[in-house]
Parts: sequence; structure tokens; C-alpha cells
Amino acid sequence: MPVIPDMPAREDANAETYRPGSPEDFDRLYRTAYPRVYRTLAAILADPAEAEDCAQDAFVQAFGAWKRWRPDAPAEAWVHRIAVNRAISYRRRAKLRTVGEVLRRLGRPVGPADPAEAATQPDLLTALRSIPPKLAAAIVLRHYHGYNNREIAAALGVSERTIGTRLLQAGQKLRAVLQPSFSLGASSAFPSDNREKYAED
Amino acid sequence: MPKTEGDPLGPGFEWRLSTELNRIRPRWSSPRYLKAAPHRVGTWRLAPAGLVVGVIGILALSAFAATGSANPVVWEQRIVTTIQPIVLPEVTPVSPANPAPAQREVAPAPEPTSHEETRPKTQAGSESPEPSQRPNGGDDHSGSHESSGSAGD
Repeated sequence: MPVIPDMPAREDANAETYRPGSPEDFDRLYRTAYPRVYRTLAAILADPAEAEDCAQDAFVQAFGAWKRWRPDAPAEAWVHRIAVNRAISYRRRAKLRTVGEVLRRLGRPVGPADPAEAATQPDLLTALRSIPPKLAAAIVLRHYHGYNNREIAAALGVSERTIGTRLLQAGQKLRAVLQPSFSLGASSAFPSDNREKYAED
Repeated sequence: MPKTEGDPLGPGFEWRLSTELNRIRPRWSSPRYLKAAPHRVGTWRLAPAGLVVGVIGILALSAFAATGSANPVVWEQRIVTTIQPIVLPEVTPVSPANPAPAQREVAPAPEPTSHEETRPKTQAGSESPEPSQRPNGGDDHSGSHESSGSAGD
């Protein structure tokens, strides 16, 4: 199966300049940002096909608004914003579908989970997908892509204070989910005094 | 390594997150925006033409339904016959004055010809009692008729 190669790091991508409305520049942005946007969505959505679908839709929407993009905001962060909003909508709809499915199957015996799938599914990604998508997006943008709070706030269109609150809530929820199985020093990974450190950014 | 300002969730967390997300390899799929973009531009360019074609189609269908014929000449005739009665009532308040002179002008025209044709026949042909019964003739010779009638009786 063909795989998109790893793209340069965010610092290198920032060094590139994009011209709004230029198809060639958007192609370049797609090649650079698509894998990273896809991974962000993979941390929010459980199904790889859903992540791919949302990422592609986000780029379609971004391409439609490419002429209106302002170079003062990072292009990749802008695409991230579109993608995360799409993922949030997608998960909301999926949740409604799941509720309908549960109601439909109410009373029937639930089949056992696939052990092979459970073994290959990393715990951290599963935990990320279980928390609200806005919180998961904040965690991934901060701790995987390396954005600071100001950049995340600009990317998602909220205040820095909101991002600080989301990161704190995400940490608490992840700790609650991962506490039993988190083996990489859970106490140090989720210290109780995160509030001050997030507030400093 | 992406830059971070501090590591509030701990180094183990970031390492694990990076490891698990880097393990994900997005499948190569052709960019969807390349397919969507020309379609959108073409749609917007063709929108006015499509609108015109749609309106003409609706008009043609309604004309066909009204006349029962697919011939545009018939539709045109139908339009003319439909519009004329609509236009005429607007003219009717003015028309009572106008048609009368028109009839007067038209009516006398054939009369001279008929009179010219008939007079010689009547004069040349058999004498009919009609000319003598005309009021003009009666007025001229009223006295003689009465006198002759009374004399006869």
C-alpha cells in the first residue's frame, strides 16, 4: 500500500511562504501538511477511513477559501482549524448514530471485542479518542505538533485562556482514563500542578 | 522534534504520543480538492446558461401543454390570439366613437357602384312599382296620387 512519506518538520514548513490563491503553493501545502493533519485527525477519530475522509474534506474546503487566506496566519494551522472543526462535527454525528444504534440493539447480547484489534490498538490513542475532540485536538496540537497556546488559540479561533483550560481538562481526563494502564511514569506524566505551567504559556 | 514550551504532561507522555502518532502512516490518496475545483468553476460558469436553458424549457413545456402542438409557429399564433382579446378591452372605451365613422366611410363605398349598376337596369328594364312607392316620389306627386285615387274610387 503506498504511503505518504514523512514531511519536513513544522519549523521548516514555516520557513516556506505561500501565496494566497496560488494552486502550486496549495499543492505544496497539501504535500507538507496532509500527513500531519491526518495524524491529528487520527487522534480524534477512531476509524482511519474517517480521518482520511475528514482530512480530504478539510483540504477541499481550504482550497475553496485559499484566495481569502491571509498570510499573517500559518497556513498549516489554518488547515488544522478547518480539519478539527470537521472532525468535531463528524464525531458529533457519529455519536448520534451510535446512540441510535445502541437504542436499536437494546436488549441484544453484545459481541465480544476483537482481541487482535485490542492488542494492536495503542492505549494512548484510544484514550485520546475517548475524550471530547476539542480537548484531544488541543493535546495533539500542543504536544505532538509543538504549537504554543497562542498559536493553538489562533488556529482554533478561541482565546489563549480557553486553550489553557482545555489542556488542563484534557490532562485530567487522560489521566483518569490511562491511570490503570499508563506505565510510563503516570505520576510524573500527569502532575497535579499542571495548572501553573499551562497558564504560563 | 517539535518545539514545546515546557512539558507539563511529562516527557514520557510526549514521547509516547509522538511514537504512536508517527506509527500512523497515512495512505496515499489523490487530493480530492483537485477533482472538486474544476467542477466548481465549471458549474459557476455554466450557471447562467443553465438558467436560460431551464427557463426556455419551462416555457416550451407550458406552451406545448397549452396548445397541444410542438410547433413553435402554433405557439406564436396562440400567443397572438391570446393577447389580442386582452388588449382589445382596454381599447373598447375609445372604440364606440371610432368604428362608426369607419363604417360610414366603408359603407357608402359599395353603394354608388351598386346604384350605378342597378339604376340603368331599372331604368332600362321593366318598370317596377318600387320607385313610385318611394317617399321622395310620393312627396313630389302626393296630390296627384290622392286625386287620382279618389277619382278612381
